[in-house]
Amino acid sequence: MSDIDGFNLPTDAFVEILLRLPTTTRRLLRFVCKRWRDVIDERVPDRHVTPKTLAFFRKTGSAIVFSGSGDQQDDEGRGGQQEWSFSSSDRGVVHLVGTCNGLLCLRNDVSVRHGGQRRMCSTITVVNPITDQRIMAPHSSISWDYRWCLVSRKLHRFSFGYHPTTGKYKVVDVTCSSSSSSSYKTGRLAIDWVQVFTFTMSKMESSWREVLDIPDWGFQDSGGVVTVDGATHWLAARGERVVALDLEDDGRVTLRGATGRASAPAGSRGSHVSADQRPRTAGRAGHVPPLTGDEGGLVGAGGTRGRGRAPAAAGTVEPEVQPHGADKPG
Amino acid sequence: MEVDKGKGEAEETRKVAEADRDTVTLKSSDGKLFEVSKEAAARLSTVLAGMIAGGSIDDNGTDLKQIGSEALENVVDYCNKHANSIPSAALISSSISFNTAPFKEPEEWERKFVDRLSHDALFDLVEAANFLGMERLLDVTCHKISEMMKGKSPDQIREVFNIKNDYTKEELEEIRQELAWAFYDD
Repeated sequence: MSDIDGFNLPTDAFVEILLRLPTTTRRLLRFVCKRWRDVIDERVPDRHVTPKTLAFFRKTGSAIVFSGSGDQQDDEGRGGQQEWSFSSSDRGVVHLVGTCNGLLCLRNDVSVRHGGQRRMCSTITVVNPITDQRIMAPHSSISWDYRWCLVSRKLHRFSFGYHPTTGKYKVVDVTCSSSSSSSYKTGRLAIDWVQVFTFTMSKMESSWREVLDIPDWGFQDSGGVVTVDGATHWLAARGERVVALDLEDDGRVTLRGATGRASAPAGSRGSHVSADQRPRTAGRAGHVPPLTGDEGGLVGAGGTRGRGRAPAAAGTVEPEVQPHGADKPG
Repeated sequence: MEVDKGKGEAEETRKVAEADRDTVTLKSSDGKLFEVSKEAAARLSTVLAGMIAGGSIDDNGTDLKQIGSEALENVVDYCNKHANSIPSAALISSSISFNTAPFKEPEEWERKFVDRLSHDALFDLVEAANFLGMERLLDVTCHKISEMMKGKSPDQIREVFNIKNDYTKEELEEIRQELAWAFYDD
């Protein structure tokens, strides 16, 4: 045997071997040497088995997820389906925040005693049900210094998304509170802060990052928080506008469209939406076209960024964004 | 005249016998000759089937310059053993691609057949099977090698197959991180 390389099979024959191995083994084989990595990446890439979440069941203390890889049988011959369960710490309730590329973002709500009071706390965990790897989002540096993200009198609305051009995954936490006693009924809340937890396939940030200069348009709780097309969306408090947070640049918040109804948003400070109130960061990089008016009919920046997939042209979006797939507040 | 005629007839008879021969002769890269059942060769190897059908089989030994004598001996051995075992209808098809054909577990004799091979002989046999388009033999040999990889760490695999690690520490770390979230955008 030569001492240089004992594995001198032609690539075609090597591929035949790789095809007979489970995906998990193939991933491991990428470590062996560069040639193996290149052959695997080129000839039997992972995307063949990108799993889809087929069903999510939750019960107290745990959740069961069925994943599948389309019509292709998986490597263990289980007919392309895999069952995976998640055990909640402290018998909490597990909610599905969202799924992206086979990853699941789960929220675990636990009732804890804190300072003599019972409070609901949430932790966010992103899991890969195929490899059973998981990362727990760090506790929020803004809300408190405990290991949980606290839901006390504030409401946290989470969303999980992926930005295709940057390859970054984001968990967005929109934290709201009531601005008046009736606001829980009407769903009109004020946004206290928005924070983003970012990770990629190669690294994750160690903390949540607050989005600065969130405009004072409020938050309509019935609309939820939806991440599509690389941006996280929610409705302004009266439901008249769609607010978009571009995940490519967490500092950029824009309006994606409006009904044209001129009304003051029910933000706690009761101010009008106007060009003056555009987030300062928005203008920073010059991405955002000038707003065409200060009441309704605002031009969303979505259609101008070259991705061609922005959901709305100016003024055409009714505030009908509903959280399909996003977590409904329980 | 009579003699000539007799000669001609003999020639004719020999040719008929040739065409009816139930073996083919294969010649390895190092010039050794092997006889193999024509039926088994045609059934197990798409390449040999094509050569037999196309009449490009040489009675004095069909040259297989890419295959050494040890590997060819194993190929022939496999074909002959296979001819003696009960042929399974599922194995006859030659048009099924490897990616979609359901793999049938190696039978006991096939397992024994590859188990006795040295490391190098096994690899040479994979190559020969690949070259000759012998799906079943490729399946059986690749299955054996994949078994050798399963459940091993990258370190162990490098050791078993005598492979040099050409990664830097940083590169390995990068892959390790990717592995944790090894999903790609569709």
